[in-house]
Amino acid sequence: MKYEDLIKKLENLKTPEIELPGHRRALRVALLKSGYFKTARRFRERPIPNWAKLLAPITAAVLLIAVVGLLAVPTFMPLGAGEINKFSSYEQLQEFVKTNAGYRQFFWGFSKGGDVDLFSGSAEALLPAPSKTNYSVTNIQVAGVDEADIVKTDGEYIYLASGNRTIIVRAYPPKQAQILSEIELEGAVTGIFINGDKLVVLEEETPYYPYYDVRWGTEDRTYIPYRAPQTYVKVYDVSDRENPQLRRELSADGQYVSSRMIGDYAYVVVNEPVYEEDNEVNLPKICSGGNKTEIPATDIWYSDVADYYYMYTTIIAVNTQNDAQEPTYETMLLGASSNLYVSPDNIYLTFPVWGTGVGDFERTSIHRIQIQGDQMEYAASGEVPGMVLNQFSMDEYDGYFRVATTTHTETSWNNVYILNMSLNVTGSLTDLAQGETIYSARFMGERGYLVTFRQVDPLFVIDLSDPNNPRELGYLKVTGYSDYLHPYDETHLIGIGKETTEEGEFAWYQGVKISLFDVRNPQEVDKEVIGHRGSDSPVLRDHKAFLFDKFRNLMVIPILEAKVDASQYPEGVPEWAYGEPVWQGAYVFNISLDQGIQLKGKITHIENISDPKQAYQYFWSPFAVTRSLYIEDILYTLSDAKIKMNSLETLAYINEVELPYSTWTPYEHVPGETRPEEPPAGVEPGSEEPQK
Amino acid sequence: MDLSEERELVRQAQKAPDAFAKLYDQYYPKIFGYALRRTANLEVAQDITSETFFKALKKLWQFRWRDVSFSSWLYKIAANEINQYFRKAEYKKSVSLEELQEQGFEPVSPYDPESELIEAQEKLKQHEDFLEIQERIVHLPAKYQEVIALRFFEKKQINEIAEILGKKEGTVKSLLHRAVEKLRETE
Repeated sequence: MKYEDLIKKLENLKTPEIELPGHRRALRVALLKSGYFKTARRFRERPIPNWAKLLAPITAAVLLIAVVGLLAVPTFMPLGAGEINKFSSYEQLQEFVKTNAGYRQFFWGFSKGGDVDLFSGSAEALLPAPSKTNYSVTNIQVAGVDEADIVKTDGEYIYLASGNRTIIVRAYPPKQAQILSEIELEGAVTGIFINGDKLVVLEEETPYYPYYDVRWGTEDRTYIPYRAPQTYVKVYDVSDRENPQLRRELSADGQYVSSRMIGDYAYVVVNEPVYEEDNEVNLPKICSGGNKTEIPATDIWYSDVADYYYMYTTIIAVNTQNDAQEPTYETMLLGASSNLYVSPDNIYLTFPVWGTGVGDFERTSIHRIQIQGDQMEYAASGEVPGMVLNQFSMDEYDGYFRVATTTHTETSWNNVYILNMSLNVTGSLTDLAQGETIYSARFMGERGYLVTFRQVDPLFVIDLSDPNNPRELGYLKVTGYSDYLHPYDETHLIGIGKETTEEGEFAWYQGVKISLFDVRNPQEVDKEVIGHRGSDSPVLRDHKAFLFDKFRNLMVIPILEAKVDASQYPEGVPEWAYGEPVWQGAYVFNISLDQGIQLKGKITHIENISDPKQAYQYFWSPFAVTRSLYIEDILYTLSDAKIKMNSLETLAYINEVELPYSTWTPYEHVPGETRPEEPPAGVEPGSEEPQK
Repeated sequence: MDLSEERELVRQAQKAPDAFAKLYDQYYPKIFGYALRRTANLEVAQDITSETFFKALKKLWQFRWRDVSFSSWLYKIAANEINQYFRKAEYKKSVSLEELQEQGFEPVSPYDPESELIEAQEKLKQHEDFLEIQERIVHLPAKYQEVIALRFFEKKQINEIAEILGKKEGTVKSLLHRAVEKLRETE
């Protein structure tokens, strides 16, 4: 049978959908009466090795996540609090790792790179300067600190990452829009930067882990044969957009965590697990200009982070403009990086710290690396209680670092800490919203905003003007919650999240909710709810999907809209009823203080919903809009399958460019394979009507 | 179930049986179906499902909402149980419904495992095409079995499979490609 036919056969195979209702009921009762609910604390006595056994066949990456907190509490090599040093020798490094790691086996794994962050300290810096450029840029956290994304524009061209390709498109003027060139790589493109005529492509190649070989005995020391993923930083000269030239290539063993670009310099953070082979602890390696070098132990920083396992975190600084300037790097032996925040002068890395009770993640260690051009210096480390949600939970302002955390124990509570540049706590506000968890945070100069949630959404406004004494100014309780907060101006915030309805102890999520808050005397000035339960937006997880321009009163949000068919529920639609996806695309809003949030129109790339190629699973469809941007008076919406151009004024269709894209099928992984299907013809493009 | 809603349920489920019941109701059919389609054996699928949920309940306090959804976590536990089943000649359960019943636990509704099983067995036999291909799949290495089952039987998206297996999406794609090639070779 041919490969394709086998795929078809598998796809269309009728599989057994058999139920055993008796077993289902019996198991349910057995579980609910099992007594585990009464003895929530019994875990403290549980023998440790069971987990290792349980999770043995699961890959290393998974292992990390799942095993976290299950091992015996390690014994720490005592260091002074906050002390940081470089190792004096390889032997010292080896000794440190072996003494402190507290594992009987080595685990390695990677925290996902997605959660990376930025945002500027000062309120003025947050507010969009009356645009000097006539095109939009990636929605970043901190002014002047660019974040890599899958789409970038310089006002004339669009650069986009799609699978293992980077594509350069002439975007303006729209009538002449076309693909100029494609760069195809071996690994996946995780993000790009554009800086003048230099295009920086971040690529990651992940090897396959042969975990099936692993035997996991309680006494045995079994090792998963480890092969490091490779992170590449490639700089192209694109002065000829039709013919990009690779100018420099760097690589490091390890997983891409995050990156930023400040001025001419790109900073790329890579994590490499520490492992042991033949009783030797590995050292991180980087490769530049074809020469692979091992970073000597005496160049590696460490602090008193006691952990179950360690990672080498290496920050590589590359001058994007001067190919001749050697890259610099700074390596630290730390835990698994969870979040990163970068101000124009400092990189902050945070790591969960193991609590004394097994399974607690009650503290976060924070590390500050001072940066200036290619000079980097590990400057301070400190610790705060609680866990950090994401980059927006952190901020640097006027010589102080602020961080919002949630502590989970029997219940949960939320805190804001202010630290000086030595990362000592100068002031704190703790015990906010007991029982709730931070869903989003944003700092704007002397104010901080927190959304916590369990059933309703309190938006807390916090005065941070005195670094020794942060205080709560007030809060607003409305239904729903926000996953992302964006400053509208100094006194207003936009919140994107979900609407909710309460039922007893529980709240059911409804459609996607967009709110405009006045934070002076906290109130919700306006709100818009899109779709029913099941609706979603990538903005809830990735701020880069959000497009906002105050001066154009413009806000664009990709939305997956779900609707509940009320006729299915003759006795009334219950709160838990899920809608079916009916539409995906960009919602274009006018937003202003006088008029509030007004829908201007909608743009979709799924023009034919009966075509499974377009509408299949909606969210994962290559026709699902993931980003939007504007150049002059043209709105560009982007999916994997196309770039569509509409008038920013009327949303009238202007043009589109089809893109080569990969679908999930294994076909695309075969080198040289291009787009498997032509897009279906038929529906007239641009049929969406502006809505009133 | 929406992810953040699930997160809230998982949080509550550690203490509140109602919340756990909601999770159970949502995932029992999926986990049982997955176990059945991997093993083509109703009794084993029952045991694996029971074991998976007991382990989930026991370990719920350790479940932290980090990089993996609750659903993927359950699939992971189930996948491990299944792999254990294939690895050992005799699958060893730590909990079984029979034992619980022996300890005096009474199911609420009349539950005749025998007749239910016989009926289900008949239904399973009718899926000849499936059984034919399943028989070929079980001879592949576990990593290929997993990825084929998750993709083609459980209709999981690549990103979900990546989450369940703890691999990169690109890795899952190439694994899937190799798995189908291997399966083709078994003809």
